[in-house]
Amino acid sequence: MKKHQEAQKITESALSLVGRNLQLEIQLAVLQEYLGELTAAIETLQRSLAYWPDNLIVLNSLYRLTGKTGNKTEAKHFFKRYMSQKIRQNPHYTSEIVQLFESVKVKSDKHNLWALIDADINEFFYQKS
Amino acid sequence: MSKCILVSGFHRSGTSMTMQALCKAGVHIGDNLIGPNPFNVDGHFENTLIVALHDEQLAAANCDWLATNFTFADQPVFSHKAKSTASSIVSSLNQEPVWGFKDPRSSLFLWDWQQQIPNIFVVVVFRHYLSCIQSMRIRASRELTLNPSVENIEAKLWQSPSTGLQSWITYNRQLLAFCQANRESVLLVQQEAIVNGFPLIEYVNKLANVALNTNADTGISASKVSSSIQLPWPAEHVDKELINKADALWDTLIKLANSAAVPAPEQMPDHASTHNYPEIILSRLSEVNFGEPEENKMTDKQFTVKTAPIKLKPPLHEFNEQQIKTYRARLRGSLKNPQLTPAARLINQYEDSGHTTYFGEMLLAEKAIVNLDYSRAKRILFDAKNLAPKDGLEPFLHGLIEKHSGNLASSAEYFLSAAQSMPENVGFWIAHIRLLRS
Repeated sequence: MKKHQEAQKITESALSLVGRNLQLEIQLAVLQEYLGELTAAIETLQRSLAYWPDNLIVLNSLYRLTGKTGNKTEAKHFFKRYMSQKIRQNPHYTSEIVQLFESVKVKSDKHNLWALIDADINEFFYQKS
Repeated sequence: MSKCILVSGFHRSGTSMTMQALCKAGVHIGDNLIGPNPFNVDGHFENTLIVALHDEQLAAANCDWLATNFTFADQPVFSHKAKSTASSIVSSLNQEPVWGFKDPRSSLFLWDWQQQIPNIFVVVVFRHYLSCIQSMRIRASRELTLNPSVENIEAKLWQSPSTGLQSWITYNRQLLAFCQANRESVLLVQQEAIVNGFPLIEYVNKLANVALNTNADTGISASKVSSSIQLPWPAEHVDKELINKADALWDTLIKLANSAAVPAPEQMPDHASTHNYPEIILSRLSEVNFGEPEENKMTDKQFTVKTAPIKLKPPLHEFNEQQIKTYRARLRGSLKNPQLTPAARLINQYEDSGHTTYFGEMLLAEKAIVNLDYSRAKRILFDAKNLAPKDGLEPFLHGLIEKHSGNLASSAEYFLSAAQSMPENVGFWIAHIRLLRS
């Protein structure tokens, strides 16, 4: 516990020296989480998100931490944003998904898989959290 | 002497739920754990080092975690290096009187862990293949939504309907062989029995002669586990012999189990869908704006070291100090590559040039570190110290050597010294902070 507190102080000092820095802000949130300061960790990440709105580590951490506090609505919101952003960052997504479909040998199983993927895509891109 | 409770079983068989219950009752599992995800909302209760060790052993056997081509073994199979890694992991955990770990992959290495840990007791959780395959395929579909590559391991569960069943057979065959040979140190329980109130903690207390808290809230809830089959599985496309083998294994597991049998789930008939899914999805995706993230926005890609080939413009006979300085991060990445990489070429050029420059010496030291020649690396660093006394790289590399040698306190001091020399270098701060919290 003591070494984590020391690490937290050093991270805060480093941040005051270098200004805004995503790696250090994520480190700070990790330490705050370890020290049981979940609300502070979420606030740190929310500030990072305002500056880096598409960052996958921040979105994933926010999903995980809000889930840990029991706020399922918030957790779901961040998970959707994470999934949606992760998909958007892949310019080959459509062709990869067609190849995947073609690689499934059994015809009825192609439809089973598509049904599940369709439900996910629909949820991540079209439904409000 | 401390006692170890190992929870083993096929993927999606309830091993996380079981470990969670044992953990809440007092089994120490350390804090180096894989976090939760939508499929294990309470966490996996898996030690990252143990999972990595199992993955390495599987890779050495040319297998992935599905282990469909894993060769049956009823004896230890860990390499010499793996034994040594396992021993150090055990030493870090066995400080508590009752400690434990879980990873479904341990099903394949139970004989190894038995050899490593004298006081080991194994809780084997098993679940019918229809339930496991359904759960794995649903989880795989979400992974595939995120990463739809045909090379994705999860894709195998869909590409061939036999894959999940073959994997279930491999794991459960290993588990059964171990159970049959070690009845006195194994508790064999059906997952559904645990959900329905099987007195797990009492049984573990009796098996291992320990005193775990039988009144602890185990966190087990029937609502978190799906007991019915809702996703069709095309069993008619699976080799009948494979299904017979799985059924025979299931019958034996049920007969040997310490828990009363819960009936197996019923197969849902497969049916051809009338929906035209490809068109539906492609139409949806046509509205999504795909592309690389905008350049001015940071992404998690910043955490990867780029090792793309570096174009070296000057002729090879001329050493260029500025190139090393400019491309150091990329060169470091390519030092690990045994082929003649840009880093190796630059080092050769540097050594042939007869120059002694700070960044050249730093790269030589890094090469020695990559080759685990720490005494040479230390000598180089010592000699180069005065070439750039205020630079943070030299203490940083000293810190790396100390870290690799297991001298964590000394390593932390070197990293701090590097960060204080160059406070604008976030990498030095991160190295120091990570070490402090490790």
